[in-house]
Amino acid sequence: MIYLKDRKNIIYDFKCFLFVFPALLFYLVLFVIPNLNTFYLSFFKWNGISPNKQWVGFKNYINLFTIEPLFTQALKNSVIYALICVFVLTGVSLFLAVILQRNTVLNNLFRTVFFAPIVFSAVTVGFIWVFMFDPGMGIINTIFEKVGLGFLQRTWLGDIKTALPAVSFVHIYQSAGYGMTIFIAGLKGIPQELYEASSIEGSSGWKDFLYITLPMLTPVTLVVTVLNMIGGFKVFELIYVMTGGGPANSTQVLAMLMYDEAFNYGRTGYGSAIAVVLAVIIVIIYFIQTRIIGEKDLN
Amino acid sequence: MKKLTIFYLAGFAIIVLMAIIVVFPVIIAVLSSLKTNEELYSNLFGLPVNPTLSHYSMALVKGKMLKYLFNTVVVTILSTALIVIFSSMAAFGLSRERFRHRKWLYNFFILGLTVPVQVAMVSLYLTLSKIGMTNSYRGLISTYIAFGIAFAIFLYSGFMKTIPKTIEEAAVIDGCSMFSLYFRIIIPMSVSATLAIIIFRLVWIWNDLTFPLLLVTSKEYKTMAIGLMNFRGEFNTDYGPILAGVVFMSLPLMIVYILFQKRFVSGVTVGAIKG
Repeated sequence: MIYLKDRKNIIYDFKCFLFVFPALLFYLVLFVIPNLNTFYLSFFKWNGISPNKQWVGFKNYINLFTIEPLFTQALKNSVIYALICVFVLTGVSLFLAVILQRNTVLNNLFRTVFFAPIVFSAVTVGFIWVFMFDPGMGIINTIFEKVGLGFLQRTWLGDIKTALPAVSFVHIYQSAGYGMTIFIAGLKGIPQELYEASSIEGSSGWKDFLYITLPMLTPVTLVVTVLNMIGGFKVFELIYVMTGGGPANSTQVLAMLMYDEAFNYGRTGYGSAIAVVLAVIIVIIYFIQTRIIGEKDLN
Repeated sequence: MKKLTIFYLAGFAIIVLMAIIVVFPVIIAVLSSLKTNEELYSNLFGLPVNPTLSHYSMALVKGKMLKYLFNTVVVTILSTALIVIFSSMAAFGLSRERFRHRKWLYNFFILGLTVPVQVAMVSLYLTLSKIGMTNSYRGLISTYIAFGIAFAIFLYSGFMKTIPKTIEEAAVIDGCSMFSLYFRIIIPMSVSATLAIIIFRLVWIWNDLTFPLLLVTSKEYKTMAIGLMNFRGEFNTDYGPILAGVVFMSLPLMIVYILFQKRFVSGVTVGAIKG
């Protein structure tokens, strides 16, 4: 009998496995293995084409952190970019959500507007803003001149001081609606009684926001912040479209540098090592997040 | 909170300003794409005096955007369909409680959600070019399946858990096989998860630049994202065709967004909170 039950179980397991198999096949061959392979390649000195790879151990990593100023610059830019995403992007999303949280026709219209840029590609939104920032056509510069702020005119994407903020502005432009939507869902979950109780005690507006809304919203804020931070560290397409890392590497970020090293400078080993550093940063952020939230369900 | 405080009014004024910042560039881009070259420089903000579609014919024919549209549609639809099929099957298999390997297999897929796309880029290119799958639909489609499936399995699993067990039990007692349980009962009951996944993956694949950038160099297989990207080399700083291409590429998704707005928003919320 036990034998029969075992056989039935094996057959059952096999049937289940058949359902999982197609997904597993694609996932293994084109996702898991390439990821592991990148890790493996990061220990070699290799140009990506030549048949002989040279094992160098941790040398790529050591070099990155010691003698590669470009990597240090990219790491610094990525951190700045991620911080802008964490504070400005999260702040803008929260602001939009708080003002637009009630379901009125007007609010719904505004939400539609703020959410809309999400359906743009990095290419389309990037090109629209390259056009806006263009110093020759000068949509933005002309606007500044017309409203009497001529002193603010810049060659936005061509100036090492403004290029990174300009690109991160477009990033915020594109993803603020995303955080807004999550925040609104979070705001709906705050019990109204809390506000009623506080209004009986004569509190309102600003204080409600500080002492009720923000504390009750903490788990949602954490989720949005982490998403934005990871989005900031991962940014690639927008940089590629708008500046390509320039001018003078002022917008060179980790993912962009990884691409350049591997595909333009023929330093596959270095590129792979940078990819691994990026992965480690993001996995650490996830790890910290799950530590803070634990297994609690956010709904 | 219901009271219209000064803070709220000031906030709303800022919201209006921000909405203008969101909409204005889009309107400028659409208007500019309809202007003649001279007007593009002389008449920055006004309506086009002599509206012309010449930039569009430039982008669609010389810039091959029509061909790229076809490629984008093929890749997007096939990838999305296969992601839906494979991930719903996998999530179904993984939700069988008697399946002994379900825990670790599920976690193995979910692990994929944490790794950024860029990590695999180098090796993916090397692998696919070695087996001759660059410059092909199948290369792109397989890649989208591999990279898009973990998230879809995650959404489906979360959803299938909420389907009452009693329905399945009744079906099994009635002699329903595992496949018809999947196909006739679980799938029809998971419509809202399916729609969320379709919307998610549709937007991602339609817009994605990373994989076509890696895997496609031939004009025969370029999608709109990479094709439009290369406009900068082809048309230099000639903004007319570039902006026409931008409008052409964005319009279909904009229409889908306006039609299915509720689905978009709820889909994103589900994905974000659970992801």
